Amino acid sequence: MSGSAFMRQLSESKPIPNRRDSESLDSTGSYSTTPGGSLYSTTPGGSKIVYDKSFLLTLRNSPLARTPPQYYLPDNVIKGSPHTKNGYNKAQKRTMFRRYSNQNSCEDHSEQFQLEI
Amino acid sequence: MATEVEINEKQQSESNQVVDIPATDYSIKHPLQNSWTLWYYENDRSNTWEKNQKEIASFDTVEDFWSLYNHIKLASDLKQGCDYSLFKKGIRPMWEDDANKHGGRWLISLEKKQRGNDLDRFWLDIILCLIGEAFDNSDEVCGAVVNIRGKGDKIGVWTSDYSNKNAVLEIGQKLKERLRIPPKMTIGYQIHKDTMDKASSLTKNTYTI
Repeated sequence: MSGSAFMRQLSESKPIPNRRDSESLDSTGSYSTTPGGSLYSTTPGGSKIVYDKSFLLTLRNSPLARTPPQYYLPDNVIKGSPHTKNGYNKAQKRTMFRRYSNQNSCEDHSEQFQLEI
Repeated sequence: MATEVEINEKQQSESNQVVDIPATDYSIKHPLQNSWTLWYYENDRSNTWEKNQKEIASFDTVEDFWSLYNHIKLASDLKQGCDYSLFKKGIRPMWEDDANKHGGRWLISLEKKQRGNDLDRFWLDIILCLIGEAFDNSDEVCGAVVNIRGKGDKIGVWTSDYSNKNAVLEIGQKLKERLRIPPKMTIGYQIHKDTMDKASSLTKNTYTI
């Protein structure tokens, strides 16, 4: 009995000193600083989350900020991509090309959907 | 056998060790006051204007904003005739939307040569004002639009109620400060209804700052 209580005590989870996205949205009302210093401030009513420009810029190159979006983006807005007529992304174009290439020996499929620049 | 007190002490000392949080915890996503949606407009004549407005993505944290911004083209790299719009989620970047139909916009008309210097800086500064809630009257803000045009690029900051003069003027004043627009250069506020009725170059300014 006391032995199993002992085991349970030892294996109990401990709060990890870190906030996750899901809870941070609910628990932000009263926060005004982070351990590292100023994070954001709230209005006198305490309800508005305000960030100044310099703080926003400090987060620009954080690992999360550098992670590419995991959702679909039209080709024409992706940084570094050439302008295309219909904005299909590369995977879609590859699929189309595979269908197309059965009768076509052209290897450079990225040219096929390119609009004049 | 360990007593409960000893166990508690043990846990206490362990948790003391892990409480040491680094100065800037980059694993935390910083929540925004509002959810924002980025729209992209491309001038495809085979489609209606409304269909050419494409919702790109929505975000509600600082990190998700940067993740998007860092991986899309700068406004100056878009084709002529394209727009980016950033609006509060649920508001469409068009006059007809309920949130916009009694509204107007602060309009910043850029000279051609400003595409190289000012356009991207202005657009980013405006985005940071929006998502960081820089305006006292940020509830009045609906969003912002950048138009890439051969005859001169334009940036507009849209508000929801043109008759709320104090709020409109506060937003305009803050814009001028944040974009470092020289005091002698004026910017104008145009009511959407007026823009609808006339060619945009002729639209009168309801307020100027």
